[in-house]
Amino acid sequence: MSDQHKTSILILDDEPIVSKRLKPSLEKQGYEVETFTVSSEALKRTKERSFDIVITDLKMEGLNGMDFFTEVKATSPRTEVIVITGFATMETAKESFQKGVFDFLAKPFKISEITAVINKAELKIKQS
Amino acid sequence: MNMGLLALDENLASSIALRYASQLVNMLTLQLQAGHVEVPDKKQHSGGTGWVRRTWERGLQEAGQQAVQRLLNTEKVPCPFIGSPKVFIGDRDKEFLAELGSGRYDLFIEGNLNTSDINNFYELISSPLYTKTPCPIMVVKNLVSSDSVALLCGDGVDHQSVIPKALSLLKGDALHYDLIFYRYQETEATVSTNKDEAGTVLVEAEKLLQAANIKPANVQVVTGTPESVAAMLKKYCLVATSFPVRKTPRLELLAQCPSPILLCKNKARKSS
Amino acid sequence: MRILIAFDTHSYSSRIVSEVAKLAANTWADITMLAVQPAGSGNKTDATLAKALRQYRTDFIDQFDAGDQPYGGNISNEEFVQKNGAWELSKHSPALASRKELLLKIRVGDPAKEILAEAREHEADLIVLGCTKGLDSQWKGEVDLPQKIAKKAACSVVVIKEKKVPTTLTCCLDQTHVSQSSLEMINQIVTLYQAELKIVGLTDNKGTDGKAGVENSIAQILKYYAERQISAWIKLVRPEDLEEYVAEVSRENMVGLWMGKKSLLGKIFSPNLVGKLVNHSQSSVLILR
Repeated sequence: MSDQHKTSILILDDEPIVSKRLKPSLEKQGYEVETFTVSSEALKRTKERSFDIVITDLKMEGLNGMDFFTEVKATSPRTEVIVITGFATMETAKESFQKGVFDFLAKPFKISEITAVINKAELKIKQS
Repeated sequence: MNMGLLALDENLASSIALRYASQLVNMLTLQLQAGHVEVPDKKQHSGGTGWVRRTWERGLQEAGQQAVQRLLNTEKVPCPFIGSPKVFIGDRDKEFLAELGSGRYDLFIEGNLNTSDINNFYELISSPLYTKTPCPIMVVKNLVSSDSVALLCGDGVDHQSVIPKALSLLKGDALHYDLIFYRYQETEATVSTNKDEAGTVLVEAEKLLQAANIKPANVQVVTGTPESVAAMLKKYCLVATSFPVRKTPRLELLAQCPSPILLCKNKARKSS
Repeated sequence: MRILIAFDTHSYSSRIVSEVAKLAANTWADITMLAVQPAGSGNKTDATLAKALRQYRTDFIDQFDAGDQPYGGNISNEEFVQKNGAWELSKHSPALASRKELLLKIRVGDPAKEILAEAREHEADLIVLGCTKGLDSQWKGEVDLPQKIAKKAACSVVVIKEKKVPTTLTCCLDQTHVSQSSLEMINQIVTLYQAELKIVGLTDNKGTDGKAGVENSIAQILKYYAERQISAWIKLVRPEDLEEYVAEVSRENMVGLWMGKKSLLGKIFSPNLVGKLVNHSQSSVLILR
């Protein structure tokens, strides 16, 4: 995969271990990955540049994941959002889809699981 | 404004107590002084005079300051203190008793983890610090975020002195109160009955609250084993009662109670 | 997250459908509904089991509001398809608005071995199974099947004995090594039941960093939950009191035991601690890995 065509992914999770697990694995697969643990910083970055895929947690201090990805979708409608959450509820799942997320994954999840979802999101981006 | 001395060590109990105290200062008219006792290792050099001793003490002072600072840095809890933490060197009980003896404090607060071994609590209660303290002591076992306080009567509690004292420390509009008379009985579940079951105790206690313009949410006699009643008490952010002096069901109840406990002194009785 | 639900045709199996549906409604997990038929039953599915699985699927889907579930529509016209010595029925198709998989599967052989094999092969994060109430915890007539699954599975396991909403989840954690996925599983269970969380740590834990190490690890766990606005109670238990404590707590509420590979709980206590817990519990047991 050449740099020009690398799919860009932003990961936002206030638990550093999530990014620590995901980043090397996704980079190894040829993705361009930026990670954040603070939602305001991640939001600032999405204003500076757009990402193909945004992976975000929901429950965070400050700007929560739902508000974060709503802002991201408003700025960049073509960005596909994948929500990961450790405290999943029926309401958050429903609201996420109503707000146009690509997929919703509850923690714990395996790297292979999120990679499969990323692949599907990538396919959708390429087809559109 | 009441003044509390919060004992801080670099451990889990202190971490919980610090978080709880930060909640308290937002709810009560309470100011806090952090205190730490650096206990010299038996092997450490403590002899000598003059420069040698001053250097040794300064080293311990710095170690104590650093321990408290590490705890504060780790917890990152907004808990405003009056001045910088005080560090004492020596026996923990003796040093805290000496500081409390200055008369500056209305309350001593420390963390103490809830364990399965109730002997730990017995030892705590019978320690010099608890038996000789000039002021009430708050024992923080868990971080509870509720706004209900249980005023626990019965079984050796002098409600006439404990309730006014507890109310003077818990001044503020943020808390709600339940009056509970504990009665030991080997039953599967706790049983709550009318206040009349406690004779005149709860009626008098209620009057003490009324005198302070407080209407208790519940006034009841609770019967059960220490384990079952302790489980019931976990809904309270604080259980206020008197220092237990003997091994009684109330002492066992307090040992099992997962919520923070405020221990006030009974009025000294004249020996006959 | 993938949840494997092991079913047979007894009433305790139908009891767990609504419990798992609630968890699925929250997490949108991929689901495998598994039944096991004995070997030598010919080259076809056991009709009773197949019918039961279809019914469990219908009951599962019925727990969701219309249009609010990610598992696709009814399967009245589809048949089980033989695949690698087992039978499968799935209607997974993202294009058809079934974003998540709900796979029905019938394996052949020894129930415990097949459940464990399915969990391993499909990397399940959680196995859920029901069993009889009382002290013998039977599943499909086998007295020790729930214990075997709880002891041997590589992933977390929930054994549901009675449909009861727990008010507290008491988790006995080996503070030194508890895994991130275990903490995450605890979070989902606490959120599901809106239950209080009680963290039980061991005092004087041989093989750890001593008292300070134990407390430091619990402090980290407590901080993790405090930052997520989850109130957690702390209780320290002496190693010699743990079995009795667990037995007592499990009479009233859900108990979670961390039994990962590195868990000292599994090493320093009776190897049958999990078995005892499954047997003595009155409601549900969560084995964390």
